[in-house]
Amino acid sequence: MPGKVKVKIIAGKNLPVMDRSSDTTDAYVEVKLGSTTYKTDVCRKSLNPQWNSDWYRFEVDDSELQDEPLQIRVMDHDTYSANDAIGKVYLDLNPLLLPASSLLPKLGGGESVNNSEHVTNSVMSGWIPVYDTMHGIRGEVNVIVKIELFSDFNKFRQSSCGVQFFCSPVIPHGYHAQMFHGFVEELIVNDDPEYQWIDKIRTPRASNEARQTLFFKLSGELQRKIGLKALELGGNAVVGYSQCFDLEGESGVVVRGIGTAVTLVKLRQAPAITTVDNTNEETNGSPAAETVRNDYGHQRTESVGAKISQSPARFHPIPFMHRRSSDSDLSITPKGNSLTGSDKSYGLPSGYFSRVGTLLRPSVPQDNFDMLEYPFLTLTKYPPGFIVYLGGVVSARSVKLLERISNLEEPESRDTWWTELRMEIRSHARSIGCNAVLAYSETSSICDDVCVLSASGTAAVIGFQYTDIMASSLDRNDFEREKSLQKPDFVLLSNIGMNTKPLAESPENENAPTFVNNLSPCTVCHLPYAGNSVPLRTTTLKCAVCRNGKVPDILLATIEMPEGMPCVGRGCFIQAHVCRQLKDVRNESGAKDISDGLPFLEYELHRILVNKIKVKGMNALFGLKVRISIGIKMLVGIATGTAVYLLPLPPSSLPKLVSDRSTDEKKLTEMQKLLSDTVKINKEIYQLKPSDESVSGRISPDNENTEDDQPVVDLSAESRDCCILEVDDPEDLEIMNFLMEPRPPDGFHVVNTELVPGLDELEIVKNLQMFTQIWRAKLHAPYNLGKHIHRLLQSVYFKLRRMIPCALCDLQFRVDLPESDEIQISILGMALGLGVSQSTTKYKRKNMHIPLKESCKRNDEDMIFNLEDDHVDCTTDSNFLNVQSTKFRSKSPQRNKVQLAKHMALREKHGVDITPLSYVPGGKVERYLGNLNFFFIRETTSIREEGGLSGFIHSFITEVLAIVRAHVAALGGNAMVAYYMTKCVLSHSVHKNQGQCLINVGGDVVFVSYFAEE
Amino acid sequence: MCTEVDVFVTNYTLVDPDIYQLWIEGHPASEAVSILNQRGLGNATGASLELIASDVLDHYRTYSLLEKLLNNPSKLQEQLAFQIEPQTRQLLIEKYYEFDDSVIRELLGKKLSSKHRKDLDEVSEKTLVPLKSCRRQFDNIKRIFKIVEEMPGSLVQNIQKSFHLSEDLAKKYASIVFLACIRFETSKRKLQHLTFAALKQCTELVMDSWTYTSVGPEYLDTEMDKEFLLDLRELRVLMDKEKEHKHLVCVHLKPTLTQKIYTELDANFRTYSRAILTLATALHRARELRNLFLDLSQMVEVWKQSGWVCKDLERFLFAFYQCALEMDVLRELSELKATWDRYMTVVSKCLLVMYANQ
Repeated sequence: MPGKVKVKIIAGKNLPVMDRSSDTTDAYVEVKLGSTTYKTDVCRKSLNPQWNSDWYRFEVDDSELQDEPLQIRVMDHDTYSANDAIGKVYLDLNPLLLPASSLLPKLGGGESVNNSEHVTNSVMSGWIPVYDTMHGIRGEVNVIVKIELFSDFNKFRQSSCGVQFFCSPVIPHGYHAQMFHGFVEELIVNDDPEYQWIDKIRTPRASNEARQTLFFKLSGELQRKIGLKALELGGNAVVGYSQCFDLEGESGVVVRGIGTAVTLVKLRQAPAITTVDNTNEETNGSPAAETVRNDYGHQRTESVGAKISQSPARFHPIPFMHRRSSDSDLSITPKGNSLTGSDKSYGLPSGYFSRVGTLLRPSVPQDNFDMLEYPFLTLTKYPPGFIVYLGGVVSARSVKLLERISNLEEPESRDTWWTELRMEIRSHARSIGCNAVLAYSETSSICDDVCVLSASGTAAVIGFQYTDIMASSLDRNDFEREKSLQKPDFVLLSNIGMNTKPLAESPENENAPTFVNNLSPCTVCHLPYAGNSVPLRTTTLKCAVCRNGKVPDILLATIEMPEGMPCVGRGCFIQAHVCRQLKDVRNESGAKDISDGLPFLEYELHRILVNKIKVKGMNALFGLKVRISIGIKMLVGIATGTAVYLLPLPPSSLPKLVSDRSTDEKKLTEMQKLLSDTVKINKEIYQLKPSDESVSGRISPDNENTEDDQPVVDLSAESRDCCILEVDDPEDLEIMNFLMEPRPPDGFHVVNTELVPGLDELEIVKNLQMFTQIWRAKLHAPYNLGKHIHRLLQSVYFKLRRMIPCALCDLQFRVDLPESDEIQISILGMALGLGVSQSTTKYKRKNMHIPLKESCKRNDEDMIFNLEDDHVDCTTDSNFLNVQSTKFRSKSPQRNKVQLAKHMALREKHGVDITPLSYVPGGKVERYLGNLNFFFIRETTSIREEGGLSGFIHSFITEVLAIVRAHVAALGGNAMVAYYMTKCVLSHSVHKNQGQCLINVGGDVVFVSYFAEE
Repeated sequence: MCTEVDVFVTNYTLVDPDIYQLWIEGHPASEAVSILNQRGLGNATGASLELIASDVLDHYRTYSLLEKLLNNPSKLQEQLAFQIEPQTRQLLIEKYYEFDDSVIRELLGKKLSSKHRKDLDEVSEKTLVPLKSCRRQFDNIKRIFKIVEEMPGSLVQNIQKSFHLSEDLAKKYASIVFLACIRFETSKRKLQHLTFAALKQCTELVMDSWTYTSVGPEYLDTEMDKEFLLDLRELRVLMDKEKEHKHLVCVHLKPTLTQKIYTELDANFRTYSRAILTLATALHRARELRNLFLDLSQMVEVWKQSGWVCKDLERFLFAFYQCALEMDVLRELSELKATWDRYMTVVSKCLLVMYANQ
């Protein structure tokens, strides 16, 4: 069924002078969608034309609506010669195809509206910059676009209208993830117009526009196909969506997208506590489920069914699958929440469980999750209680030689490449006893015809429900079973805590009440595998909090730090990089050279990373991002992350220095002292209180393992040799210097995660600036990358010096090696203003550890509490949880406290905010208005006149941001969250005075309301 | 190493008041870096010259991109390319349109033609203000002049509206525009000592009192009240009654002036009175009007040479004005009285300002 698009061109302003003789322009507009084109009248001799056109109507298929951008081209009319193009506007219609937010299924009782016609957001209007690839922004045009969409329930339909895409790697604010359906991906291959024969005879403008148009279409098509996959899985949205263009040059362009299919339900604005009252099984789960059914009733179910049959026989049925399957088999569907049902079916001895069961589940993935091809999730933050254990980082890379893709319809080779990687990741995760990979991401780096593909994520055990854990633990070793046997006790603890305090105190907790910490908060850190059951060398120690579980000596993860993790002190940004020179060989031998070098590079990277963490006195790293870039002469790996000190993990041991030469003995001891002093200072700065108590009773590592056949399979595995640094040659000394790198200036809290762990008396009150730093230089060997990265960081701090006190969050590094001796480093980040939070938070924080330890000790002593003790413990424990949650919430957009410090929260924000984070401090995301993805190309033949390369790039990025803001505003938003810049490719030729730059940006358009002071 | 690109772009346009000021003052980037460093920026932040340079260049690039818009502040308000906080925007405009009195003083009375723009290096040399800044100031005046010259209504308000300037700054520009519209002579050697501030004060007085009092589309704020100037001729009667006038003034001033000054006044009353009244009767001729400040400064010169202090002049002028009102010729003709009133308030205040300035 088609949709009807209505477009009205109202006016233009600030158009450029196209007719030199009269200093004016005779402008008109062409509006194009698919193959239909309309033209406005020519508005003579005006730089601010008023067209006030009729409504142009396009009747198009809804899949076309998703694929095709609306193209608005502003032209200058010439009587005697060909009309000149002024510029173009591309409008992505996808945001207009979304269901109006008010009509999304609401949790518990919003279903009445859902039966009505599929109404969409449907209007976009405003001034949009007219962009020309050769001249940049040339004026603006005022347009109104409306869409009337007729819902299509045809089961063979090609469109996926209504599936909302979120770039944000979190559950969107104001939504509740009712179901995680799993990983969705798609890949499309096409010819790159830049490399077609026709490019030799057409103008650069024509070629750039052909490219921009194509990229727009590919992006739309990709999203549509992924949407279809999400529908197939039963989801209504894709979160943590990321899209990437691989420009393979001669062999074409590959567009890749990955995301997580989920079923989202809108939370009611009323305090979530009321939902707890829905103790009735029926009301608990079914209304939302019903809404899903209403919306997507007529779907194909064959594939899903097939999956079920393939699945190993599970203890409990997979009710969701049935429930979703069609309207007709309602009768056979167990109506209630499957979980509650299965809880019951276990018939566990305690009454506590049923109580737990009555609580609303935050987001419960089904056990069919195991049956998914890839148990991957692309989110970085998960509802509390979702993650049971963290295994560690898993990553896989492959080096491929590009060749021309012969058949565009069957992009088999690229698909196969990624499939291989995903399978590898999956097997890694399984080998360490994990059932899922979180914060999964894929990256690629291309140089000439060699391509490095990387995939990484955090292996983890996720809790479908905790009975499930018990079941699965049966096939694990004794130690696991022991632990799981204890679980009911913990459940009891947190459960009571939940019912008493935290719930009442968090009426506006968006994620709904939780039965979160069904386990002691330290269990997340426990190893999901026994030390010797995996094919890796590992160091396991007893958990310092509960003394029961086993923990690794250092934990690396790509996810954000889960809420409620027991940690102390501040988090700190860690960056490590390694640069390897490559031989001067091409093609296959070049690829082999890279392939041979990769493991060494990765090993080195890991070693530096771990040592840096240790020098900081910390023991865990979150938000780990590793990016490998290949160039003609070198191979660069850069890893970034946010280090924290987790209580359950042992305190980091000091790296030891060794040297073969005895002559250096004195110097060595000096250095060792220097090192230990640095660690001490760092511990003070990051407020890491050493807990002497926890040191005792630790199991020493037993590393009798044989030669490792997979040296770098898991970054968290290699640990022993990391403690020892050899200082035999200058190269190693340099490493020492890295370790003792200077800290950011006072007043800066730098992390690469969304929140700053351990901000203590400060809290993030508002957004200050999203910044992009791009640096490119010609370097000669030795490249001394460290110096440049360090200098760049310093320059970022320096340029933001007026923002102190501030937090720099989500700091993203990217290294590109575009030419043989050129290196380009981009840093993207967000500066957030810090204010003073209420002092009570601090007070509470202080007494948080002791009760926790006490309670744990008691756990050791007697497993069965009498009620009296129990209660005391519960309150302390819940106090602890409570403290943690307030701590986090205070930083989240929910709270706006009276500020005393420099940065004050705002009541209103001027203009359009752009942030790479998924939240807006001091404000609340009210509505998600769709995601945008832009690909811009800018070319110039007068680099010198535009202020050199820097001037060219500077104005280009400025303009790109301006266009993004205009689109956000036209869609009715006032901010863009989860902003990304995945590409910034610059090619230039100085002597020809030419330059070309490509940028790929995007994010989620949102409307944010700012709180007035309380 | 050869850095090719080093840019730092933020969502909200970042403006550093110090660096912007240096840019406004026309310092090239390299100079700005060393100035900032000398001011202790490097010491305070531990930043190397290289870092400061990178920062300065970022800002300079932004400002040069903004310059086109600053030329048309209305556009700056509505443009989308730069997202600027309202208060920052105001700072940008206000600073951009700020000027050095010394430069403007040089430019006053010169034709705002491109020929003169080329000669700005002389101004730059003389005032020690960088050429770039001189050009900016020149262009600003020219632009504002062109826009508001023919605009009906209040000059100050027009400038404020068209250029989003503060009232203070708009008033300064109003004076400049007015001076340029009437083409007052200000650049003669004898007037060189007059500062812009003094000139501005005088001009404002003239603008306030001698232009059309009624408002409307047909009245321009930049035109003199022709009728008034013609009426001034009537003041010739005072010349005929000089004796009576002198007597009254002398009686009035005797107790307050020192003996020396009094004798001097007694002897030269005729010269002084003539000078003031001749000016009045000649002002309807455009040439004379243009030479207003020249004539006034000649008068000032005379008193200066006779050793008058400011207070003496003030007393004299007040008496001169007051006593004329007491004379029959003016008492009977209320219209003439008003003209006298209007004339003398401006002239005496101007004389005093110029006297103080000399």
